[in-house]
Amino acid sequence: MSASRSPHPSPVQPGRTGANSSAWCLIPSRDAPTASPRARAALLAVGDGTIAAVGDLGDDPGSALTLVTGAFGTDDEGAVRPVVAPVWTHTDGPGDDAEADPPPAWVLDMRHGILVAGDPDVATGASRFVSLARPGVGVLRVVRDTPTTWAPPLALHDVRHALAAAATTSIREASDAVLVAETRSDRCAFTTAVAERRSQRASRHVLERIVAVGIGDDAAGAARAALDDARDVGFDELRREHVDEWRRRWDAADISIDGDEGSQRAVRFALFHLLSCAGTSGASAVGARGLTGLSYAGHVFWDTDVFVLPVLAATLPAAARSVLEYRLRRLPAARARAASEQRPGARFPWESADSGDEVTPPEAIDLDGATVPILTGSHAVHIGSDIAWSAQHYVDWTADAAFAETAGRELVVETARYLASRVRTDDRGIAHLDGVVGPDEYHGVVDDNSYSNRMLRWHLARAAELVEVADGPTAERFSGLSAALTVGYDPRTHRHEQFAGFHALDDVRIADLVDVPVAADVLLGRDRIRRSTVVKQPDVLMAHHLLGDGPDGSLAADLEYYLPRTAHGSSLSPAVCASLLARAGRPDDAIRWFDLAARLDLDDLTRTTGGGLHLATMGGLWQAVAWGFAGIRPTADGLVIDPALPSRWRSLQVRVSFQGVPVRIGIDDDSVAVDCEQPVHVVVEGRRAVGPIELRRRPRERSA
Amino acid sequence: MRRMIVAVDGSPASSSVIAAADVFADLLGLERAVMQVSGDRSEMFVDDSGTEVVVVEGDPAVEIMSASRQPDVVLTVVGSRAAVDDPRPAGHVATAVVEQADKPVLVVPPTAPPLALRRMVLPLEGTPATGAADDGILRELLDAGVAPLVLHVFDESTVPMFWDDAHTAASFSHEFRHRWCPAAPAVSLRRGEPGRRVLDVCGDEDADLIALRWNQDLSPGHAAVVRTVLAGTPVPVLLVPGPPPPASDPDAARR
Repeated sequence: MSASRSPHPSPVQPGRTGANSSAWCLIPSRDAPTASPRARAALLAVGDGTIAAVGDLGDDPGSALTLVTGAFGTDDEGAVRPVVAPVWTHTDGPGDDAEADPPPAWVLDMRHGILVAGDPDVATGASRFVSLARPGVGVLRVVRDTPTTWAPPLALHDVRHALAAAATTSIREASDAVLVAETRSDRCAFTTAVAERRSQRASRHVLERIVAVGIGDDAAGAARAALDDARDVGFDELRREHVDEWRRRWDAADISIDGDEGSQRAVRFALFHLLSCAGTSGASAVGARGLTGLSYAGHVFWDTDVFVLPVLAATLPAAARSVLEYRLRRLPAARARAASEQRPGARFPWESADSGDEVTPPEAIDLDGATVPILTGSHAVHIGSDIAWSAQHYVDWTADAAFAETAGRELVVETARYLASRVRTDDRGIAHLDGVVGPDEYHGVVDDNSYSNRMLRWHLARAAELVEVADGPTAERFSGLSAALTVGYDPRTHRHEQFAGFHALDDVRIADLVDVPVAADVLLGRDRIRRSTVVKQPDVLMAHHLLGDGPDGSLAADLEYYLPRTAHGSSLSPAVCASLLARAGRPDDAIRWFDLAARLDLDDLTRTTGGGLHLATMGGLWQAVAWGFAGIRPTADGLVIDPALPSRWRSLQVRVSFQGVPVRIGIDDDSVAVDCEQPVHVVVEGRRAVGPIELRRRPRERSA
Repeated sequence: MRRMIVAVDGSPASSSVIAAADVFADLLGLERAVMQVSGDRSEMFVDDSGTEVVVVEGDPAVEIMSASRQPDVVLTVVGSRAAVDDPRPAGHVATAVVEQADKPVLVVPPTAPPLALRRMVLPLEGTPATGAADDGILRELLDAGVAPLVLHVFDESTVPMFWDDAHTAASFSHEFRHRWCPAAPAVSLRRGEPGRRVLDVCGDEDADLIALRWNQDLSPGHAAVVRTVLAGTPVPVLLVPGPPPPASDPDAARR
């Protein structure tokens, strides 16, 4: 073993991947050849966390969407759904001749955050972006070379979507060059202002259009002011500042994989959309499909807290803070819900939208045609611990003391108070959490779900630390409950039982019977699955994924037992398994699951990508790389780095921000290089050091 | 004027065939040509509406096919079988016709109630082979106001990889509708043996018709849905010949 210090041991530059620069571009015909037009529209969505432009790519007019963060309405059946803004991207009009001059194919330039068709700087083509530098502002340029008149009208198209809530859009201002429209539902109002500039030289027509969306008390004023500012700046400068902002984001977040261009592109694609969907000011949560589609009704699940927030905490902390702010602003609603149950503290909803009230549908028609209750809204209480974990995880990455001592503390403690009130202690002094739904939703309502209990055990212990000075009795109670809470661990087998009674079920190793992933409940029926040990997604394993605090040997034992019994029917499952297998020293077993997560939307494996991208899977993909293959974790001792690279990757470079310091970590078979401009404590394969530094790696056998 | 060929055998089941044909004729503006192709042809079947019934000698299937190949014929109507207790999905004449016809065939079971064509079950596999349920005669029925109950059934060969929760069902249904039947207001999803589920939904929803696009192969191991539906249906079944699957079918790997 050797250790050496070097100011720049392994230079990591954005775009320098070992693969060629095409890893920065998503070309649908090459990278997603089977995608339907609607799926392609989602794959090529561009957004900034405030608005997003989806579709309108010339092949499916119905896919055009403009989505606005936090805009909801109530539909006829009382469900809370997104409200869409008028579409501003149509540029068809007199002079178009698609047959004579078919439009060039769209390419997503992920490095610069621009959707491009052809070469609009030189000849016929189009480009579109939603400005990271000016959230809420979208820009497009279309260039046509035609000897005839080309005169698409300036218009805002009020579109209706079956999955959107009803809203009315009214034109407030209209001229040849500017349109301003107000959209209003029963729950929101926002203003869309659009302007354009046309020019013509010989047969070359240029159209530049700018849109600005204003939200809030003075939506109209905000939209108009943003539009006027953007018009003053002009297209070229808007593009320059947008590209500069993307450069900053990639500087902070890029991952480079040498030796595997497909994985490289897929990881960039995931990062691109995660960074596109994240607001960096105020309160902004990333819904299950972000702003890339209307599926999942724009609702916010635990996906946001435990799958999306971690990548943001490590690469774009302001966005992670905005996610937490979203939860904080809904703390009053969570307190009210707890109070309605005559309990202390705060209970957050399983599905959340604008108000913070529970918006999980109460029932649905299942695949047998029966109306069945949806139990997550009433029983998936682990959301409280998930949120507390995300708050602590943000603090672990950022060392944001102001948040930790105020708002973060409040989130952790208030959710703990609620959950502590639900804990039952039996005659033997063992504490239980009864009647909950865990991550494995196949088994419905159970007692002592291992994931929920392990998360709560951690949660109560952390809350006890946070209240200790101010409230000794509460701290003592939290500590006592935490220690007494059963987590189903059997020291003889080193395994956790998923819930009380799980091991009495029919033992079915689903992976031995059919190819997985498979929606086992669809295949075998809900009742059959409920009576068996087939699990939908990591549950016991999910606790290992987030906490990493299981007893020695329990990760390997639980992987050995639960993986063959996991159907992976949740899109969240593959990435978690990839991460855990890598951590367990089996990176070449992990890569299969990594590939599934990487291709989930590109190959439309769910057949639902047309309704939006699976942002949580993308967050999980980052976790598989950063937590799994790179073995990176923020801890009190420093940044832990314990890599396990798959054989087909020659090297891996990951960028994070640890406690305010940008850190670039380069890993190959021989060394780990930590590059940072200020000292950073690290623990590399168990050895404490201070970066910047390059360390030789310990000899390790590749997994079979 | 476009015509339909209505083939009867003179049995009591012929009344159901004629009644179903009448409804289609009215709805789609078709002229009926009724031919009696089997049974006791010395006693001509009497059509209550007074339409002339042509008695045809020769092999029934051959004669029906010959008539239906006329360019102005857009639909052929046959009875599935003469007897209620016949266990076969369809008699040999109906089987021959549906396998050979290059145009839609309406197969009417012997006990089909008088047809009021308000709702039709439209099962879709969601593959290029079976459509696209919005062209040809199916498009005409939709345009004429027949409400489609589009149904997709997951079986062992088509079970999805991922199925998260109720939102997935809504999302899958929405995307499926966009891709395969944009004209339908919604798509219902079921799991199990597709033919049985089609019949279940037909009964649950009080549908008047089942419309199936298929590849016309009733040999063993093929067309299980069509077999099951023909054997168990209480309502007429419209069989629409479908195009062969293209070589680049992206869904082929999942089937």
